[in-house]
Amino acid sequence: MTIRAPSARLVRYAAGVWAGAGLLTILPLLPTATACELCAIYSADSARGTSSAGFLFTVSEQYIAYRTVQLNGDELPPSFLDRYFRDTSITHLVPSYNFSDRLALSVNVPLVRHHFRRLELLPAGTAEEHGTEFGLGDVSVIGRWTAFALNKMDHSLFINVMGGIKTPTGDADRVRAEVEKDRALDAIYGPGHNHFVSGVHEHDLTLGSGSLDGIFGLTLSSRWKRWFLNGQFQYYLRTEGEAGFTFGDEIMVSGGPGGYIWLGDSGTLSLQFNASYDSMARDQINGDKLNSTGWSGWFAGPQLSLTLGEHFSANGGVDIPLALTNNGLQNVPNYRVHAGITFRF
Amino acid sequence: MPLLGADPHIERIELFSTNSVLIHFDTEKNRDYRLEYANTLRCAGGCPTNTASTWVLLFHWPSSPFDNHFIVADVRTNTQRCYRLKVTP
Repeated sequence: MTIRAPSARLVRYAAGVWAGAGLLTILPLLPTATACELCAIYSADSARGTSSAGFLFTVSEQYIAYRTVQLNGDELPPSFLDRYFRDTSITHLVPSYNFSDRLALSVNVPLVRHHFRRLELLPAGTAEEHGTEFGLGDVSVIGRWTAFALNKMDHSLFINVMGGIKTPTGDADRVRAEVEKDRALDAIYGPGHNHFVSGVHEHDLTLGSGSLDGIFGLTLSSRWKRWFLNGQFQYYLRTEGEAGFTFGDEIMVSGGPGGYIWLGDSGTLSLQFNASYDSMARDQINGDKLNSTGWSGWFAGPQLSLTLGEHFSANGGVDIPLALTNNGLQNVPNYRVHAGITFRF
Repeated sequence: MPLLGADPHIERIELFSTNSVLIHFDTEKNRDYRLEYANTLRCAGGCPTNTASTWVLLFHWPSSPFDNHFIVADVRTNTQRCYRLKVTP
């Protein structure tokens, strides 16, 4: 996702693990679960901080390499456009407080870094830019309410509802610059012309959107003995931000099956296969839809999750794009890597 | 409708704003385009091909996988300026 315009992501609560295709072939080779192993699973929920009141602190990282150039959904053959890229890293610092086992509040503080090379069209020609943007992104405040909780030794089911707001704390100067250049080019080419000459656009490099956005989410996590199935739905409702620019609304759906591949007295290790679908609508400037914005994609990949004791958990995974469609000329993800650690006080 | 790139040419030059001109031209995929200007044209026998003029690069569009159309703005600093579009291959 893009996190294309770096947006705050919902904290992945509730056994937040993705899944892996190799899981089904690996798990049958593992020892059969015992009652104590189920105890370990039971305490893993505690380590993730989903089952009791108190403070948690999560640090997570997402890295996305945007290096594939696509025109209207088709990957372009090799050309000079391949020299233009964007590598985005977002580090989320997420302090949270569980008021109870059903109600929690989190603050998501993203630190955004874009390393890039791009070509842009100007009235007098083209200009190449190479550099790095780094800084505070848009801070989000997100609440979680567990609408349903069933947690037994050999099975569990949690349904969480989440909602929050994303505040315009990130620098949105890149968005303003794009709007101003777009107006200058419209005066020459006329409105509606596609002004993008490479797949990396100036609004892609922004740290913030300048808008106050809504965040809505629903997660489901279920477990039967050592097997589990998780799913998440997220929707980002964008409003008009910097200089009349509105980023497109975004939908993310992800989930998949998994299982515990190590169950010990000191912790657990699980592997999950995760499939996800992301879709972002076209961006707009003063209500006019922008060419070369908006995309949809299917991703899949494994995720490992580790818990140690009742206070520490970690996870890491990779998303490989299976199919990506896009409007106009855009650089789309080659892969996404994500990892995180959570400490429950 | 003209065939893009088969006969590469400057489509038109027009005045723009108070001190600019706009140069319009199409580009065809897999061809390299260089828009150049010269403030004076000097012939070294057999104009217009054998010019001794000094041509300056104004805009370059490398060979790309798709067609496009460009309008390049140039500032009017001289009483006259000549433009040419060099295309390879």
